[in-house]
Amino acid sequence: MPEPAPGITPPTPALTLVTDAIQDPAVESRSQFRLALERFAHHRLALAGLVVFLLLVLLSTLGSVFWQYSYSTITSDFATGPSPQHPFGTDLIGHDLFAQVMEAEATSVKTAALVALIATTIGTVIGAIAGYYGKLADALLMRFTDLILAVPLLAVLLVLANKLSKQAGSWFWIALILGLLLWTNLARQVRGAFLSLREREFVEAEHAIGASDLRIVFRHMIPNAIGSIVVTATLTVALALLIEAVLSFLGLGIQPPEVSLGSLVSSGQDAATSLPWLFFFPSGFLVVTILSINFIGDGLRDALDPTQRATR
Amino acid sequence: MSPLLEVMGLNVTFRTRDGDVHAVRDLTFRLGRGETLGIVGESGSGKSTAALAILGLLAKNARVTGSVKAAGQELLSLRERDLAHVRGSVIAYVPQDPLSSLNPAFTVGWQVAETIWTRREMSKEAAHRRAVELLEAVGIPRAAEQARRFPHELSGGMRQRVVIAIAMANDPDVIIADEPTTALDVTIQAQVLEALRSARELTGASMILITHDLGIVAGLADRVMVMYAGKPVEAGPVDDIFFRSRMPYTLGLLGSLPRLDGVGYARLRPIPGAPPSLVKLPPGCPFVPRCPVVIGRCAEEEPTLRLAAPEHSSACHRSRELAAGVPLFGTADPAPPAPQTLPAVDDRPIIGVTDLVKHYPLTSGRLARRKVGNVHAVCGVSLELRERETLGLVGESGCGKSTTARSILQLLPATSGSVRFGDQELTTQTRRQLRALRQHVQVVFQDPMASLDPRIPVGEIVAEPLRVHERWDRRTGPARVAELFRLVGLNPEHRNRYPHEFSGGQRQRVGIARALALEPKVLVLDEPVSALDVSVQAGVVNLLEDLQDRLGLSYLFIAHDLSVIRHICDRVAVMYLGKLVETGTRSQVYDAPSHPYTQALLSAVPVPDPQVERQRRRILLTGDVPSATSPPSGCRFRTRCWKAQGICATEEPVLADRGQGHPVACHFAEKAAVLPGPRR
Repeated sequence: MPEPAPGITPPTPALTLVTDAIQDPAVESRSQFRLALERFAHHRLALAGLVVFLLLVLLSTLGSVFWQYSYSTITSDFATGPSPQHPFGTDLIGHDLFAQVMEAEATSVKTAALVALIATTIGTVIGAIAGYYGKLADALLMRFTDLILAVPLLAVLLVLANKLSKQAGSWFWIALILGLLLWTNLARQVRGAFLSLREREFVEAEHAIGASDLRIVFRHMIPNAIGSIVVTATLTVALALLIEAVLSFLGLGIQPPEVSLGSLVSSGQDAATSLPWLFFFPSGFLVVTILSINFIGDGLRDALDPTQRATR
Repeated sequence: MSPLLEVMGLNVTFRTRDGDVHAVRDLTFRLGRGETLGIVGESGSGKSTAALAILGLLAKNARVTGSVKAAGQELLSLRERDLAHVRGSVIAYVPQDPLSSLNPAFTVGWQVAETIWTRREMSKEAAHRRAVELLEAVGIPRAAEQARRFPHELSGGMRQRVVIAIAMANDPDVIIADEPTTALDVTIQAQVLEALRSARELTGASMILITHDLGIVAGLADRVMVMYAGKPVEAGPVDDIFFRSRMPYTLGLLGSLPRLDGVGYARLRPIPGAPPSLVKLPPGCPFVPRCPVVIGRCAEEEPTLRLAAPEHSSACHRSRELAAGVPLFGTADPAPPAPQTLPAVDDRPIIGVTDLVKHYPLTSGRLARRKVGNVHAVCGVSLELRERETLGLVGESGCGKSTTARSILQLLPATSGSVRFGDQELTTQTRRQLRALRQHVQVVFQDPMASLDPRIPVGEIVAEPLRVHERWDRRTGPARVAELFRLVGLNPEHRNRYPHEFSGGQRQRVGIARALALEPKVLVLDEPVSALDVSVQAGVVNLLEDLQDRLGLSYLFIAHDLSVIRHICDRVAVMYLGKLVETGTRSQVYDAPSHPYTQALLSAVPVPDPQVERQRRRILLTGDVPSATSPPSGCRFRTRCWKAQGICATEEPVLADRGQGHPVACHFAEKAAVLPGPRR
């Protein structure tokens, strides 16, 4: 081996190994969650949506507790316009519309949230089983999903509304039925994500370690699919709000004495020209709620999936 | 006479969210007529960006300054329409990925002919005739017939040759080939390089050959430019660069390469660290953090490319002091003390594989799947891995080596055959029994990014095997993880970081730490270094060697890189199309290869030594690897073999010693020295 040239000191060997492996990456330590949070915070529309939505929820909760009238109280003012006493006015019977809209907002949001919860759970489980096990399980479950997708929602609700005339009006039953029908989109998404995750080497590495299927699915695959799950779940909330409103508008949804935004819009539309506040306040709340949730969903999509940069 | 292509002070900056990325900085070179310039660099060194900038093909967020003159004409200020004329007729481009650069909707013959008739007054018939001639010139057999095929009907090597034919179509003055063989197997690479050589001869064009493979450059280039962190750091005649380098980075690269001909150090000399990020480059030389001969000036002032010897320039403040052959980079750490505490080696195999067969069913239809055939991925492979031994399993892509590994690991159920660990048969174990046995046989995968769960901190990834096997203890667990981190040369303080925060080499170390967590006896290494840059690869190879010495591990080392296999393996098994064709000790296989396929394989690998490359004679195989759905009868290699005779089609040669001293599966096995002997 040739001697080193003068003036050049060979490195101390031990030091070289240390610097080789322990070189600090330039990036500071940030988890994927933090990164997603930062991206979400940079999405102005989504942030605005989140603020508006939280304000609406807060308002409706506090409103039904602290407001002087309950949604079922019949006051002595009939069909009066907005006034300090009744900020949103009153209806033909004498209900305070502010109390009613607050109650309806709360009912609609909790219905939609329950729908999303049920649909997400069913969709994730079915999609996960189909995507993870593939083959026969996949074929059967996906054909079942196609079947559910083909069920006409209105017909089901018409039938059930008749059968369960007593309970069917309650928000819980509406949420249950919608939840049992709206999971298909999510199941397909989760299945797709799992089909590709299944082939990834880190999943194979888990198999090689000897990890159980449950551990692989819950600790490794679902966290890696959480982006599309959260986004779809959020958008399911908005979809459920809209469908519930449509159903209630048609008289198939939430029945009196309970009120939802849809049923308020429905009863207000007859008087839209003579008593416009009866129509505009509930429909305004409905539109703002759905929009804010959709913005949140968009923001989450961009935040959780950095490859799909917003082109807005 | 003015040079054909003159690049002066070329700078390329990309605007990104994280800041400006200076992808190419101050690139200056001249290309003379008939000359071949090799541009070498690791990933991210800016070599491909430079090529695209010269061609005016960069995306809109790129800012390009400086000057590019082709035959005296400035290209950077040209309008797109005029530039389109320059591309193709003056400068032709051979991109890396031939599948995405060919239009899938037209036949390849049409695409070659189209390039001709859009530029010249020529009838379509004449253009088609010329296209077939060009396809013949790049070595496509039965060119007239192949010309009528669509890109997806051709193999990768064929497609790349079609792209070369397109580049030749209008007699360009300069051909820029950007990593033309990176995705290809070594025997196919040899064919494509031959096609490039004939393209160069037939058109008389100058060539810019961009690659990370120093062996390719050694064989083809007249002059070499080495790039690092977006900047040329050394340029000169090929022999000067390889034998009288004046830049520590180049010297480091050459020292970190294992060589096919076994010349060089017994232990690789890795360059410490990883290439810098191009976003916020500190002042001074970008190589400072990795350089062994830093002086005070290096961190303050970035050296520019200056003449260090006639025609040989280098960007190093100390280039004058750097005489040839200085071992700048130490062997990274002293060889660990010989492990006396380890028990004596047991002669019985620790892993035994007998007649392993793995077929994949080919199905069609969606609802009711019908079986339409089988992919014969592995057909009767028998292997033995002894304690503390490294067995290399080598072959080209699709030969079934990874399938073999996965079948041994019981990640894939074998169709038939036996896999034993010690004297326990693995293929018949229940899931539960297998789980316990998995502790002894662990795996390291090829892609260090894909094999680590991106959502989990690396410390948890390494702890995962302990938790799965209920060997995690709240008190001792963290200490064990820290110990594993230190064992593979990682800083235990980084255990809360996520995989994306590490460089490729560090990630692969995390993967190795995870594999070692359960104290296995056997590691299956599936292409563990092929996704890494050469300067980083050497460090991982050294680590694997040290770990074997310290822990007494046995390795099944799967790779396509024959040089790495030669460096690390005790015994080698060569695989072709699902079968072993030759097995033996390292010196038997490399010094006296006896199967024609082994000989062709060895002769195809370029050696990073221009003198050796000039003297080498290559065995060029014709054609591609046949499909594994319907392998040839008899000997599977006979369709590409120059020795094939009648018996090869009717009778399958068994793997047996035919007087060569090691088993060969060939009726006409004959020793041949394919590699040049040690020169000095």
